[in-house]
Amino acid sequence: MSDYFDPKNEELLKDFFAEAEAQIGVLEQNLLVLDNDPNNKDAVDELFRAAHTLKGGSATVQMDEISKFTHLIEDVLEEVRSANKKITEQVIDSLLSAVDVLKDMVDKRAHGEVFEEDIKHLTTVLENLIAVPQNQPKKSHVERKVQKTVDSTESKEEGGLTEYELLEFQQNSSPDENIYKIQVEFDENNPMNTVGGIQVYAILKNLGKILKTIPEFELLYADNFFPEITYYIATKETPTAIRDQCKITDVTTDVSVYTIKGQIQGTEQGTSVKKSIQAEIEAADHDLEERDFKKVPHKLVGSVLRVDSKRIDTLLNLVSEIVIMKSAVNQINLQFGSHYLEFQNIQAQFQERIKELFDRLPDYMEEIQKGTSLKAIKKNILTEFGDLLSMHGHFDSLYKDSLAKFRGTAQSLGRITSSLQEGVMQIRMVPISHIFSRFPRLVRDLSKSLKKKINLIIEGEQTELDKSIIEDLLDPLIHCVRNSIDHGIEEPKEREKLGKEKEGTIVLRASNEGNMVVIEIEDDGIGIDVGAIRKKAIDTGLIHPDKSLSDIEAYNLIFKPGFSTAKRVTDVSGRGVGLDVVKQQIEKMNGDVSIWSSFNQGTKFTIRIPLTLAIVQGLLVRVGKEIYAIPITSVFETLRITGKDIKRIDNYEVFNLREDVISLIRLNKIFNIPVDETREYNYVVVVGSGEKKVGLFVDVLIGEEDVVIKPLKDRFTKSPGIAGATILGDGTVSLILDVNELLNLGLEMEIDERKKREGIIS
Amino acid sequence: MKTKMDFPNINQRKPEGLREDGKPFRVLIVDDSMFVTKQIGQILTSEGFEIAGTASNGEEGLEKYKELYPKVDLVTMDITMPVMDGVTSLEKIVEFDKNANIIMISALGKQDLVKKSLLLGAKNYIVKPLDRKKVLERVMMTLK
Repeated sequence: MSDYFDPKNEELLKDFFAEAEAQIGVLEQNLLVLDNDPNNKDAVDELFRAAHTLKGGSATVQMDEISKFTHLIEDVLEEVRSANKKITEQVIDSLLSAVDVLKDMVDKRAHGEVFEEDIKHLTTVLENLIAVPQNQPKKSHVERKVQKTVDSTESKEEGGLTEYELLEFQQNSSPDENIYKIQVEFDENNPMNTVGGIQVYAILKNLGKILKTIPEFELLYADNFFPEITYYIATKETPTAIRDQCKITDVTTDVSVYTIKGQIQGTEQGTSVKKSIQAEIEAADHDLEERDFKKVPHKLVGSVLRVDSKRIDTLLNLVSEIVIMKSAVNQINLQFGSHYLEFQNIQAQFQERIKELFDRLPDYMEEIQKGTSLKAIKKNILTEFGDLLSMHGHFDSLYKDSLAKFRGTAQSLGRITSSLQEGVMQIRMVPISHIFSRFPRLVRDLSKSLKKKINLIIEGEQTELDKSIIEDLLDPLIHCVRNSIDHGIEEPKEREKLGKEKEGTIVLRASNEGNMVVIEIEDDGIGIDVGAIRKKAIDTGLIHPDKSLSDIEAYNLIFKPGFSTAKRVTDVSGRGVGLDVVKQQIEKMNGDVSIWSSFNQGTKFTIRIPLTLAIVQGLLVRVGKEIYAIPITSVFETLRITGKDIKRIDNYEVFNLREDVISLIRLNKIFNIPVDETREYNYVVVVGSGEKKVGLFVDVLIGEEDVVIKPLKDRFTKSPGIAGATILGDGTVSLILDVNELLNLGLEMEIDERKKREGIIS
Repeated sequence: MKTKMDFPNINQRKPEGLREDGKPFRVLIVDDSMFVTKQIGQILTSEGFEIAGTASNGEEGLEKYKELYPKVDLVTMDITMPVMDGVTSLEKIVEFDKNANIIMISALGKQDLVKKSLLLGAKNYIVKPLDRKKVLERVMMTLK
């Protein structure tokens, strides 16, 4: 196969990387399975298969370092599989580190580089694992040979050949050659069961001339398995010799030789070798049915479909509906066109008639002067020009019809578009198991290096999330899990003292909650010591010693940069970098993270993120001439306030919202937009995340709409407080506000102003 | 006597690797993986075969074969190798000696190349992972 692929083919490479990643995942998972259950044969097979596929794949794309290294891994696995090597922890450990190296290699390649680190140490370890093959007694491979003689009538059969073919064969063979029909049955269990047909072909080719095969040679040469193949051969060899040559253990199960044209009427032909009684029964069954070889199913290897085909079908349905809709719109378009023509027509007539009416007016005047009563003249005008009133009636009804049709179509178009949008989003959805699957390994390694016993429970791994989010979610999750292992779960001895089970538990749970996905990381460890946090916060000056601190507030303090109460710094965590990054990253995805803890009972991180990033619901507001979109998830409420409601504390504006005092941010000040500030009342959008709330001062609330986020790619245009841009229905560009940044911005401005003021005072 | 421990019944039968006249069959192993080479070597020497030489790629294999000829009875040839692959090497060796006994060693999934080799004159093939019994079986089938 490798000969036919261009190793630089991008499609191929893409496939390779996707597959390599999957295979490495399989390797890792099954190694972990073996770690728990060293006798799991399936896992070993699975490992072997994955290593093999990876090796083949990497060789195909000419990534030799990967294929070589996988080859080595395969050799080790071979030892494991043939049970020459007991599966010890050491074996698993070295294989796991080998998998890590593989990951790096593939990763490097994916970035267009080649892995060049020194892995001598690891390769030697692996090589040492490949012990001298021990010659243990192999399972006796009993072959039951059943001899059978075939009726002489059978040996003369013409084997389904047409007369013409028979004639042709005879012409093709010299007089001293015999023509034989050789029926060979093949062992499907042979790992390379598709080769047998050609192997026998090659053997027979050496014995004489092959006249015909059923199925045809091309089919044999393609990657197909046929349980039975018939060869017609012209040769001087005896049937016994042919039969013996075709007997290949593990490849052929039965060989029957029939003479079609021959000098020697063979008494011995037709003897057959049976691998097992069962095979014979099967063969008998086979004889009963005429099989169409072309119908033998042929396994397609490696067809990977990563999107549920149902989802594609749904899209296709929607697209076909849109196509129908398009023709409806076309029709309406035509109708409106013809209506316009009609209208012009009527209008022309109308003008004509009006003109006539004007022309007639002097006549009417004259008649009045002559003494005709007004009533009679009115009557005259009505009879003459009455049609003027009803002239537009027909057009009116036509137009109304079309308008109704148009409205209906627009509505269904809207419906379909939103289904289509949903459908396309669905395609981007991947189960969270993609990243959850990395945690067993992580937990194992960490708990080992920290000498803790930890049981990881994963729940809801089928929960789906947008692909782009899933990728960004991994790091925050790893941070949280690390935190739980390092600071949460106590050492086994300590746990025993506390009356807990020696083995700590960490639960990784994902679930849906409306438009959000909730991920929880829960441990049953020591929990968060509020006292310690408070002390640390006071020490570092984060809070004033007099400030009372609620538990929730205390928990949230650990998300502050540089905050760690860990008594010691390990290589895992505790350096105070981490949880603040978690918060930042999650908030970047429009999500939020919260923490709950109970001393000595455990800690729970709850991460909430929107299902998808690309489209958000936004509240459109106007400030001056600019339109901004505020992600609806961070909007608490909107209200209208008058100038009287705004109070000033320390020179910055606040207003009362029920019992809260909320500071106001004037967007026009932040973004330097000229607005008319004399208006009587203003709208305020209360936004915030978590405990922080702030009111945004805007001119007009426009409404709610789905907005498609387009990133602001040019980094020079990156302005704080803006998350991206979107294009509105009428084509204008609107900026999307980044509420979190805005909160910080407001805070900074406050601080700046205060400093300025204090500077002036002092 | 050393091998007796590994093969309890080795004394009860003639080792497979000896010819009628008692001299060993001579084997050339061509494989880029030292593990496979080692493995095949161990399987065959334990049965009395003589390893006439090893080569780590197809070109080297071809040269070794010419050098050893006619003092070589069997070649095991890996399919995927650097410099010159096994199929080309096989083709060249058969060109040189059309009676050469060559057994292809193939990884799973290389069916097409195995087929090609068989049609080009390989006498047999062995699928990796190598199994002692299978190796001997195929080797003996070829030498018969």
